[in-house]
Amino acid sequence: MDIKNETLHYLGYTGQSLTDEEDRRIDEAIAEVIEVARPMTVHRVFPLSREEKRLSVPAELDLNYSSLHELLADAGDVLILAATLGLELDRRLRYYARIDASRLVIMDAAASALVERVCDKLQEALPFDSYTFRFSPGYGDVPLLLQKQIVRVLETQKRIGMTLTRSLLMVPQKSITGIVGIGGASKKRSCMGCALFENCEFRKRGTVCYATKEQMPE
Amino acid sequence: MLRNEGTNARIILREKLGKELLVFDGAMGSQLHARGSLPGELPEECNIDHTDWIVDIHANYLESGASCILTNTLGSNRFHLEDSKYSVREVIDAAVYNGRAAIERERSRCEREGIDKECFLFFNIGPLGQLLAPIGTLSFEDAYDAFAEQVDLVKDSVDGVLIETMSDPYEIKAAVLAVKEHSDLPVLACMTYDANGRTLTGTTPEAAVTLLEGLGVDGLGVNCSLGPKELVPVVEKILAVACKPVIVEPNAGLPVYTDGKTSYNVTVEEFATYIRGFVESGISAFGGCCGTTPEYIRACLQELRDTPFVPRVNASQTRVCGPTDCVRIGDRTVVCGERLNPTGKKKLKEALANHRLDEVFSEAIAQEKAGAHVLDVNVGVPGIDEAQTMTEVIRGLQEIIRLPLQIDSSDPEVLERACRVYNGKPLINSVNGKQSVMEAVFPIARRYGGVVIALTIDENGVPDSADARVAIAERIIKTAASYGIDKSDIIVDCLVLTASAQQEGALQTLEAVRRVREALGVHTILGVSNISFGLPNRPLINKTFLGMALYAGLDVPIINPLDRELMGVIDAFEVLSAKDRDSTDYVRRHAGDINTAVQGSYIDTNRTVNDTSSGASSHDESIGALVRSGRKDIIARAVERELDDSQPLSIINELLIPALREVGDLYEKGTIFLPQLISAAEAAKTAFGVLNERIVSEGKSEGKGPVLLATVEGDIHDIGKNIVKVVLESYGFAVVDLGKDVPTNKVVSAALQYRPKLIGLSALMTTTVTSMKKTIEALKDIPDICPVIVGGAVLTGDIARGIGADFYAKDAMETVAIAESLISGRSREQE
Repeated sequence: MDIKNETLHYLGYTGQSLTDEEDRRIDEAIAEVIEVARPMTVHRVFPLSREEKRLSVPAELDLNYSSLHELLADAGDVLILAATLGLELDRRLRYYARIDASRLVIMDAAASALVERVCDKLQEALPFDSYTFRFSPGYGDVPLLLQKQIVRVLETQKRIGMTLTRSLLMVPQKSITGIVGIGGASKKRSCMGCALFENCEFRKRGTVCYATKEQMPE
Repeated sequence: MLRNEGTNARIILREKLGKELLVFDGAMGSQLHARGSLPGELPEECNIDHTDWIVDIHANYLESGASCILTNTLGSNRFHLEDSKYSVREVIDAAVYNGRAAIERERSRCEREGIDKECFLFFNIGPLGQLLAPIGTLSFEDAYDAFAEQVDLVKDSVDGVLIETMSDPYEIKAAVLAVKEHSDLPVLACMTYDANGRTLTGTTPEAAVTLLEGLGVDGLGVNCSLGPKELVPVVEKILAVACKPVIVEPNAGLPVYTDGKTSYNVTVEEFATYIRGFVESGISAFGGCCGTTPEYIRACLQELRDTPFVPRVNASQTRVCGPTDCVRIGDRTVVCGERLNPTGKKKLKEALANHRLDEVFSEAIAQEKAGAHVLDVNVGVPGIDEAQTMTEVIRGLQEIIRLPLQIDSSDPEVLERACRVYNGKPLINSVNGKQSVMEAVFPIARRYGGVVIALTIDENGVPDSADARVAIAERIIKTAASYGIDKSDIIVDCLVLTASAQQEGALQTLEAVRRVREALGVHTILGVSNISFGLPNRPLINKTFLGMALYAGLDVPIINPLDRELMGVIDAFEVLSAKDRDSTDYVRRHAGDINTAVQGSYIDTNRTVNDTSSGASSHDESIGALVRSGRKDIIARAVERELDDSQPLSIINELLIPALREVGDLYEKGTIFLPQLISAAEAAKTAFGVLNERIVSEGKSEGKGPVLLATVEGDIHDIGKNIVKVVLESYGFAVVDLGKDVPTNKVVSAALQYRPKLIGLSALMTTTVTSMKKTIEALKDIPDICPVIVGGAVLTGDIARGIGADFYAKDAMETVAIAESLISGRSREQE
């Protein structure tokens, strides 16, 4: 999908009229994100073993949560990935926070769109043809604490400069970690189990965060 | 024979550094994985769980020819070991024991085989695993404490420290300071670089060298990162400027994961060839990082058997740096922006006194955009805590701009605290010929690194003659040397006197500049605009004097970089003195200048074009229309025009507020979306700024608020809070923004200080809602505290009530509605 559509989608755009000037400013903000961002990814693929209904991989990584059992039910391997757009983008966003708030929100949305795209590209480049959706700690019954294990297994600090704060937030801010099942039927994402379920702006507008209106499941 | 024991070893080590090639070991982690350790496990626990593995690995490296081994302690800090079954002390004690056991084994082998060899045990320090504030949340002081805890445990049991795999210059500064302030161990410091030749936090090799040499490390270099081939340009950049011995420890290429196993793509032979290249280029020590094995080290020594050791020797340069980039003084003219100095600036003085740091930051951004290379920072305003404000301003500036800063204060206590928290190597403003001042300031520069500005004034004042000023400069340079500060870390300010008062002074100053450069070999700095005080058409005098001073050898003019004419003089001088090769920069900056002979000045065509385009695209220039279309660029002028006929309050009530209501309604209905709402809010905010100035000057201050805003401790996602701030300000509320990751006690003390009418807190994640609850509880202990409103992605009305908040707002518009009903509602009734 076009990164501009995706950015507008994150901004809650539902067809409002834009002046040429506004349209140009959105294009500029997106261009600046693409210029400043330094996308980096790291990933590992592990074979899944199942013993007495427990899932395990040859790494210090606890996958025994019902959301992950469901996600990985048909998978033979599991892809663990992390992606980031780098610290310079964080700095630039902080800069605009001081001088231009509308530029800030557009760039923030564009960066969110871009980092998802980076993960998509990584998955496309890997030699697998069937994936589940990308699951991130914090959804369903999987605690954010699992981020710590992912960060250690992937050595994200050394490889891509991504670390966690004590509150388990990722730095740089525009970073993603994901757990993806490889093989078997594709598991589809749903909003149940999302921490934002109750007051999600996307749902109020009749969309979801992970697809634009055209792509909405019927 | 294998010699060396106890504290003697560190003396021997310091002697050997840079005098003979030191050989370090190779990877620990990949050796542990080969023995069965799983990805994600803490390698430091192996010091206790698999003592035999660790001793074997060390001993194998020693046997392969390494003489320096690193304890298995890269992540042995309180943060990485938080979830470990072992304490920091247990891990570190075991690691040192294992290292000593391996050296003991090597000693026996050497005795058996009649080999003469000295071995050294280095304590290995790596990143803490959390990024430091302001980008992350870990405070510099907490980082320092964590490193100091490690150093305290080894200060008597190892021979040196190697800090490795660091990306963040601020973190490596905390680590180096901890080592130097808690031990007398030799310390080497390596950073890791990625394919674009910068560290993962954006630091260049030159900036890293500048920072680390300023901190007084014994050696520095690069480890990990990439394979040896990709490191060549980074090593070359380090070797081009480093005065301390350089160490290089590449990976065995990049990791390749196949079937759950990791391998590396650079062969033993290839690796050894590159190491020989590095030694030929002048490095003083090498080892291996990820993926290397004892075979790599052995092959390197084999490859190096006929290579003579000739370390690179560089002349010291005058350089300062910020978090990412460094600026060299003495090459091209370096412009120091003078505007962050409240002397004679009423607005800045007020902003600092009232803690409106946003105005300070905008001033800095404007100077950076205008082409300044370093910025002077002075926050000396009566009645404020200068040291506290200085550290806060420095941290805030270093979050958003790249330029090195010049820390400017007459109070050594302020300089000390500012230099400690500064990320990089600053300019320190200043010392002078007074003994007491030098005694107070030079130790600070020695400890933290810094280029010190030396004013040619002493107990007897500013001497009239150039001779006497040069003599003071000479005395300062000599005194600096006695503190171990090289003259390359001194810049002399020969002092500009006012030409209207002391007309002969101008030429004396320039003569002193020339001689300081030529006779003392030291760079110079001058505050230019003082020259014209009391004369008409000051810019003309300033420009002329600047040109003369540059020709006399001025390296760093302190000027207003927003003055395009002064900046133009520098551009022209760079052409005429053949510093701007092929006039490239001059042409780029001035190709569009239009010479307006009548005005006697040129016009920046870029700016003119912008002005026309922005003016032309808007037909309706009423204030309401400019708010709705978000024209913050031209609304100020429209408001000023309107003020000719109307009272400020009626503009607010009859034009601004209705326009904002309309915009709010359009947003609620979905007719406009977020960026449009915010643009409108920013335009209204600009209008309010103009109107407020008028209201204050007329003494009819109404003052809505203040509203206190903070993103709670542990949370760095503050975009929602920033949107709320702009929208509140657009409605004329005074907002005190405490920023992000704000500790409870800071919110409480701000609540006591500002007595806000409303406190807004934001938190993004479930993990940070707990600190929101803690903050609210603490606020509720304050008698008569105002209501607290909360917002953030995971919050709901129910959660808000549950944590004791008075209000929950789903977005910025709802926050405004609540604030209006609480604050304006009351003030409107009073009208």
